[in-house]
Amino acid sequence: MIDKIILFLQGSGFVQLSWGHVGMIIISAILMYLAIFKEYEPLLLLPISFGIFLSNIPGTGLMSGPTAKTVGGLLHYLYEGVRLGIYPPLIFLGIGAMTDFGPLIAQPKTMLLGAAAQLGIFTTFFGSRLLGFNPAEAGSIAIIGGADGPTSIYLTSLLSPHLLGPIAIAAYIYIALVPLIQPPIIKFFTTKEERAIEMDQMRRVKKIEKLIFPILVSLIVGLIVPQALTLVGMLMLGNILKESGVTKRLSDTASTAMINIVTILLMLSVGASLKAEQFFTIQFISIIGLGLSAFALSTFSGLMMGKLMHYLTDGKINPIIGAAGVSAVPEAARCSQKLGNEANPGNFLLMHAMGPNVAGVIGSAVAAGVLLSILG
Amino acid sequence: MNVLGETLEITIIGLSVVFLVLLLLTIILKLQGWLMEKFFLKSKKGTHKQIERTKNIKKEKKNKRAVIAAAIDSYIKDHPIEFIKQEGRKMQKYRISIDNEVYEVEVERVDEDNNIKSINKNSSQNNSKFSNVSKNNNDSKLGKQSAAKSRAAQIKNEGKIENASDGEDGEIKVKAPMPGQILMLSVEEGEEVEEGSHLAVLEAMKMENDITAPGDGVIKEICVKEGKEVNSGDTLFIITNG
Repeated sequence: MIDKIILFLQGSGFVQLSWGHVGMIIISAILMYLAIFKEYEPLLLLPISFGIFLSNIPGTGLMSGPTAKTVGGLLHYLYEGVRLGIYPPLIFLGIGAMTDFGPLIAQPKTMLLGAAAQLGIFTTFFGSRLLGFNPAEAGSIAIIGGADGPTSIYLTSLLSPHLLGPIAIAAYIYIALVPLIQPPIIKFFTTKEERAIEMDQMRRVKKIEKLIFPILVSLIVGLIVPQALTLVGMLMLGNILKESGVTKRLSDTASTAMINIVTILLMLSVGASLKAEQFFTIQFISIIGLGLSAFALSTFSGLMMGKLMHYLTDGKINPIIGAAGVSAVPEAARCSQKLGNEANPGNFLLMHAMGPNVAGVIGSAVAAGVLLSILG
Repeated sequence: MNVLGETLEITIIGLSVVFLVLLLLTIILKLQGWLMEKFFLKSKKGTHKQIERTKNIKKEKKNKRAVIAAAIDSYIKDHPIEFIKQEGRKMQKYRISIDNEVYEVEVERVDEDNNIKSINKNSSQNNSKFSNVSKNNNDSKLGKQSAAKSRAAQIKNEGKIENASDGEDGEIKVKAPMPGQILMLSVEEGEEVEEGSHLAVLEAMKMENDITAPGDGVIKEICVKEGKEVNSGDTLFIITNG
């Protein structure tokens, strides 16, 4: 009898609790507080923080794999969706079903802004290598500069899964902080007159163009960068479900119920994969720092491309929509709208900024595909 | 050094692939847009220029109609139309030539008063026919015709002046800058507004945008209601100034 009580106590959490666990539980509590009371991206932060919380209660085996006798923990199996690269493409399917590529089709040249804003990815790759990360790790860190959560998670899970937690956290932190990070950079590199520039209203896009677009993009991306097609192909599938008009039920599900379910599973798993020994290291701090520089550089290079196009088109393009080339949809576009409106109350750039914004999504997925094919 | 070279290579390859893919897409989309414009959008919803052009054509037509109506009016004043007294026959057709274009005019008898019912423009192919008709007229009538012409020219000029002023200080249309939903209206019809006055809140992409007055004036008409979905380019307010 007493033997059994001792055995039970030995299996309980208190005995196995370490300072690392306590630290992580405190961090998860802080994150939960930020999500619930400060509403910082609560849809993402709350499941992440609860995932951290659950997996850091010791002795539960939630994250442990199967042994010869027992099956693995629940979170272990949910994590398989991350490890095998299944969740991020499913998220892309939902995003595709929500996204209107009309502004991009109406103004194809804004596509180049989405390409320019990927520069930060590669400069950060450079920086990460100098700081001593191996090529695969450097690629995963660099993709944060694309400001695309699912892409970052997808690439990291395939290149360097051990960094998944820190990178996912860093990526989503910057996406949440777009309204704080971008404006000072934009204001520094543009004049008030430039921000005040109004752009012509866009032409209306025909339905047939919206139907050709997903097929066209999948074909071209698939032929040039096959590794990028997993993400881009799912994005375009979601989009054609939406634009075809005949599969309303499917596109509704993809853009609401399905993306929500996958978000819960993905964020919970990402949170659960965060370990104490990763969180309190120089490595994590340098990932956060490198991510910030990647993000800032992408904003900068998008802006510079915007300026170039501004001069090439005789001032028809407002350079600040270049900053929307980083693919945080729609936060970056909102940022352009806000700054443009601030400089000139009659200026509405939101729809124009959506062009480079969605192009940025395609751009960072292509960049991820390139990194995957070279480093993978 | 090895690290530097290798990363530089990856950077160059990566960036150029991203640019290549997106540039290719840009070119194809541009081409597609051009084809669309050329073959599909020819009729109505075209580019800004096309819309402006059709607007101008409409204006010109309107002007011309005013000129024609005035010319006919003055002609009829000089030449009282003698209706052929015939039971049941109220309509009579006339042909009038202005600027080498022939117009067929139907005149309807309404009790004692002569009233112009409608103006139908015919093709200028009828020109020759008309010249035959005018040859049959006597000289005095021809003189009076030129008087009518000068009056028409006068009216034409007046019309032009009117039109020009219409654009500058007549009405300002406040249009929706993007598709979205009108969350709130902050003015009422008849209210005076200044440039920059807050008119409404338009929500697009979960973002509230303020619509402000582009100039001073009085709200003549509010074309939307709170909660209404609008498309880009829809007229929201009509403001008259002065």
